[in-house]
Amino acid sequence: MTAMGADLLNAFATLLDPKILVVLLISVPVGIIVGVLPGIGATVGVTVLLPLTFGMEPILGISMLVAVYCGAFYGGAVSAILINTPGTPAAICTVLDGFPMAQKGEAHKALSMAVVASFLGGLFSVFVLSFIAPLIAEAALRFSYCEYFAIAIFGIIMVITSSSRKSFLKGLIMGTFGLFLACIGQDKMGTVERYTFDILQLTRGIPLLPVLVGLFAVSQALILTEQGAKKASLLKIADKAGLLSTFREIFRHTRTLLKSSLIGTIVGAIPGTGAAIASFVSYSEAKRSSKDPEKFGTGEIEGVIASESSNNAVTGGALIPLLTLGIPGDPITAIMLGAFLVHGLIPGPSLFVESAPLIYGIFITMLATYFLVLAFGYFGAGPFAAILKLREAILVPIILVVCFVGAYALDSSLFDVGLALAFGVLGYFLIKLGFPLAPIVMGLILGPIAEEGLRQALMASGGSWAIFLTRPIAAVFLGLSALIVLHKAWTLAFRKKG
Amino acid sequence: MNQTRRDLAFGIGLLVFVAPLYWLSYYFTGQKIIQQARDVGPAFLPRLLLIALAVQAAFLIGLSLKNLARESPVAPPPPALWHLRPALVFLAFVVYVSLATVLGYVISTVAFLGLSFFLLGERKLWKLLLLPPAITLMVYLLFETLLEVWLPRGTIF
Repeated sequence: MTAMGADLLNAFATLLDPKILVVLLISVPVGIIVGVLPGIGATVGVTVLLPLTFGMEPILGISMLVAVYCGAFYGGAVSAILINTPGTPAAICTVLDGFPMAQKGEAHKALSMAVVASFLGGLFSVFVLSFIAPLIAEAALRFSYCEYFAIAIFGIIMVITSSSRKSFLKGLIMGTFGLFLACIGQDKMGTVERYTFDILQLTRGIPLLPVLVGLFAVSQALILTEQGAKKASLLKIADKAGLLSTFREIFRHTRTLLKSSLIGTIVGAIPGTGAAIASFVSYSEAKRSSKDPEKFGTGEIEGVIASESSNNAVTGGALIPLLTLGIPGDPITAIMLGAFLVHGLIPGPSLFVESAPLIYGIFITMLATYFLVLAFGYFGAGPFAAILKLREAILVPIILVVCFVGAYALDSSLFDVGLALAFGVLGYFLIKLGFPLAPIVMGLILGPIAEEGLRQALMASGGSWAIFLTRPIAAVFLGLSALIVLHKAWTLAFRKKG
Repeated sequence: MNQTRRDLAFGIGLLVFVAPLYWLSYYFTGQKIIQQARDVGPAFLPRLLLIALAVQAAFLIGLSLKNLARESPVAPPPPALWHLRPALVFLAFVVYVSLATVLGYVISTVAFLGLSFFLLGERKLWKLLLLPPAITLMVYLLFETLLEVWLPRGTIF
């Protein structure tokens, strides 16, 4: 048996720890709840819950966030089906056929389809993650600073591209600003202080956690307060769909299921793409290859299967660049990177060598998570739907209290709380001005990797940028990044109005 | 102010933000010693990024001016930049954070939750009276007792 196989088998013992089971049993429904609530979603949920992990063992804390992450992706489907509003952007295509099904009195059938498709898509991606990630990590052990610089830049450019559909320039400004923020503090390759203004707390740099809490949770809470108290018109779950018959029905669409799961996993593994894109691509592909494409959008089961299996398959795919290269592909995996760092773990290829039991433990708890998503999602559809009646008046202040505790708790620092407040206001106004926030976080996280890679490479080459062309992987990633920027700049400069 | 004018103002503001930071990069502590040894010193990337930000700001200004010139005078106004309710909630949050070090976590959180529920339109008396202490207690027990994550201590409590 290979070392990888043995590690995976040993990791099953993780599930014998009752603490893990308790954490998963609590986190999965919490994840579904944050996914159910439109405006909260996986990013805010994982950010707000991150402080809970500070006092936990690494495997417990990271498993908790992973469980919330996976649960939230299914939760988004509940509101998509019952109130015609996706709880998370990932469920945007679930609305198209899920809501019409609910209107026809097939709400439970649509929800059951969604949860079984989420379960199967999620399992597929965890299997791919478990077998592909160690191989990529092994290859990545040979990467030098040139490759890391190139991959970091590519990651930022991809996040800018995906999060800046209205204006690439605005995303680019935010990404550059994030990279600049990463320069604040003591220079990692020396002892020079940059932009610290003699503020002691800034010498360690801008800490990630308050920025995450401010940009993703505080700003979103403030946006939610604007909407005021409005009640969702909730469709009733009047029908009943059996679990076995749901599986049977789904397996009649095995092709769509497999194709969508594969698309979700691949799209998830590409930094900067995300579940909404995976969902769109899979939905379009299912519609294109269907014998009855005209039925899509009118309550077609295949549409729900395509959307839900692909957006849940993103969860495993998105962990591939994070765990193997230490490069998060979206805001949620960026927050998870924060969780790793809080516990003194640095994701990347060496983590597979130094902390193999932890990595494989995460894979196994992810598998268990999807079984719990299936159980909670199927049997708890009614109670989760009732969450949709919760008003912002109650929700927002609770989020803010947890934000305060979260920003304070890591270092018992009011300075960090102040930073979270400042980034909260900044995030609020940037959203209003049409600037995406994800590139700031990606710049802040990937900035140190990019700077170290760039400076080491240029020092080694005596200042010649040609060094990046001598390394094929680095050249490909930098070339792709340059092509994307040039294409966007060309479009911006020469597009015709209208 | 419409969206184009906002973008124009943002671009100008960004240029104003970038200029002093670029100038400051020549005064990093210990900079000269390192720069004599290597060109790729600690100021290298910040300067590169600030130049990039300046170029991007210039693009944003240029695009905004171009859009302003061809904009219809009856273009619909964009959504308001700020609202009273989030401003009040944020103000309450700032006061809460400030008071937490004096009153301690429990009292300040109960007060903040009660006030915010009210500001956000909750008018049921039982919710205003019962939920704040219940939620505060839950968060306290969860963090302090179960997870051993310490919450702010006040000078009074």
